Amino acid sequence: MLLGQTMVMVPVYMPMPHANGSVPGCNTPRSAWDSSLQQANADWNRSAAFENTISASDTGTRSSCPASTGRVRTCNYTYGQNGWRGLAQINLAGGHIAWGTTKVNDSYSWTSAARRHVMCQEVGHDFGLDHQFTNAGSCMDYAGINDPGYVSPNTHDYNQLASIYGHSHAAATAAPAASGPTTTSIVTGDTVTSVLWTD
Amino acid sequence: MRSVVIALLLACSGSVLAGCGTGATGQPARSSTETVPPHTPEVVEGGPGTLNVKVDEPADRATAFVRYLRIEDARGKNVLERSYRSAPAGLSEHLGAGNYRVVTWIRPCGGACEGKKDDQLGVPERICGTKADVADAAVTEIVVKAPPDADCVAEIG
Repeated sequence: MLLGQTMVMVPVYMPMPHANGSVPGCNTPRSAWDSSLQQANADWNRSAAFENTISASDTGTRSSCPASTGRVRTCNYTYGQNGWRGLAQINLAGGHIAWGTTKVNDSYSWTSAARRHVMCQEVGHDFGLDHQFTNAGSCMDYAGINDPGYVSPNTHDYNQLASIYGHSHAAATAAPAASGPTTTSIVTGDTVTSVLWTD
Repeated sequence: MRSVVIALLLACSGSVLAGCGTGATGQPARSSTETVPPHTPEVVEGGPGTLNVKVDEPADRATAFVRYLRIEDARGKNVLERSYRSAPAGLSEHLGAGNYRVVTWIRPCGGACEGKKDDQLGVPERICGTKADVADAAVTEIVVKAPPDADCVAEIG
């Protein structure tokens, strides 16, 4: 996420709709996505580029997941059987990432590893990272969605972040994700949308 | 000194977390020592088949949104992409036999879509897609159900 040499993003964390953690008709603990997001944030914070915090939730925005300038908004919702599992969208206005959103689709079932993999990958896209093709144990890899060995960034990802964010304002660039066998990249003006398909 | 603080906003849906099983699929692993991807020919094998895409959408979609249809090959490379400022959208293409993905989305135009250029449109919304196998001398039908009030679903017809 690049807004120049300094960027302050107001941390907001949206609480679960059921504050007591009980979900009608569902035994899944409320922490199913919470923990994935918290882990992804902790992982990406290992980069010297970030010290991000998760802030208060807004349960009324899950469906639309509206962009918020200077922030990454992460939403889970039953977006339907539309074929995608995760979707990241960034705005590259002026060569910097002005905002990012991540959607994860609860219309499909998830393993614990898949939650972590996809959350880590989509947030990575929001930070301007592309996929990896090396199958070297990164959440940015195409492979390994259900593999516990592919749920976190690897050294290459941190190096990429250092390259992207360790810059002067004028040199700032982010690499929009490319399409691949299980992904699609849609570039429209300053906005890049990365789609992670279910198959 | 760390100077960047990023907000991560989570809107969670507890009611949809039921039945969390194993639905995701992995990809075949490459050797960890592999540094150069193997060469893959660009040529799609086989003779031409036909891929038909029909979008089931309301006629007034075009008053507020431009629809896009894209066909990608098995590696995610664009084969074609078209925009539709009238409704319903659809296409019929002769393609080499192989595996493709049909992807569609809409972009808001703020009214009078026919007069709007791409750079005047909003960000992609209501994205959906499906894989499509095209066989030699065969017709593959894809139907995109795109109601006005929900995300679309693309299915083999």
